[in-house]
Amino acid sequence: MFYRYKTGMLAWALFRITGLALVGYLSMHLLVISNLHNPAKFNQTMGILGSWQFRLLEIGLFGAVLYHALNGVRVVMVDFFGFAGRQARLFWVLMAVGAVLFVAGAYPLFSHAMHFKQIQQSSHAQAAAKACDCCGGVEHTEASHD
Amino acid sequence: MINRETGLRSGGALNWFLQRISGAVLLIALIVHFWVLHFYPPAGGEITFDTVMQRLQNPLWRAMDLVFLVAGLYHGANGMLMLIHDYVRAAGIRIALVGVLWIGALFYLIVGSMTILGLAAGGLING
Repeated sequence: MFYRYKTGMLAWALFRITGLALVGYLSMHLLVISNLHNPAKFNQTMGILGSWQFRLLEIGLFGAVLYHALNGVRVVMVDFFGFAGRQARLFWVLMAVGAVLFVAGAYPLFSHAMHFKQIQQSSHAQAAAKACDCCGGVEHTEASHD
Repeated sequence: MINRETGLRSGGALNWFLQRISGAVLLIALIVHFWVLHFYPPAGGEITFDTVMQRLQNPLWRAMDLVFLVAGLYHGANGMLMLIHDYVRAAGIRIALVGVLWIGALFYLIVGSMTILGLAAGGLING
C-alpha cells in the first residue's frame, strides 16, 4: 500500500506542476502567434524564438507535454478501463515508454538546435563583416509592411 | 448554480468527463501539431509567415486548429479551476480567481480564433 501511495502522489504532483507550466506556455504561445496579422513582426518574433537557445528550451516543453500526456493516459485507463488496481505498475510502464519517446524526440530537437547554432554563428560572422546595414534595416522593413 | 461552500459552479461530473475527452483530443492534436511544425516540410523546423500560411490555405487545417484551440483552452481552464478548488480556501479570493480565469479564457478564445480565422484575409493580402 505504501508503494502505491507514493507512486500515486509523485504522479499526481508532477501532473499538477506540468499542467500549470503548460497553461503558462499556452498563454504565451497564443500571444506570440497572434503576430500572424503582421508578417514582418511574426517573422521577426519567430526569428528570436527559432534561435538555438529557445530550441533547447523546447526540449523541456516536449518533456512536460510528454509527461502530462502519458500520465493523462494513465488517468483515463484507471477511470474508464479498469486499471485502478494496477495503477502503480501502469505508471512505471508508461514512464519507461515515455523515456524512450523522450530520447527519440529530444535527439532531433537537440541536433536541430545545434544546427541552428552553427547557422547563427556563421551569419553573425557575415553580419560583422558588413556591419553598416544592421541598424534601421529592421525598422524600415516593418514600416513598409504597415 | 453556484455552490455555497466552494463558490464554484456545480456540475463537477460533466467537467470531469469533458476533461478526459478534451485530453484525448489534445493528445492526437498535439502529436500532429508537433510533428508538422518540427519535422514535416514545408516548416521542417523553421517556422515563418509563409510556411504557416501555406499550411493554413487548407480549410481543414484551420478547422483542426479551432478544435485544438477550444480543447486546449477548456482543458487548461478546467485544470486551473481544479487548482483553485483545491488550494484556495477563502471564498472571496476564490470567486475573484474564477472571474479572472473566465476573463482570461474568453480573451484567449477571441485572440486565438482571430489568429486562425484572420489568416484567410492575411493570405489574400500577402499571397
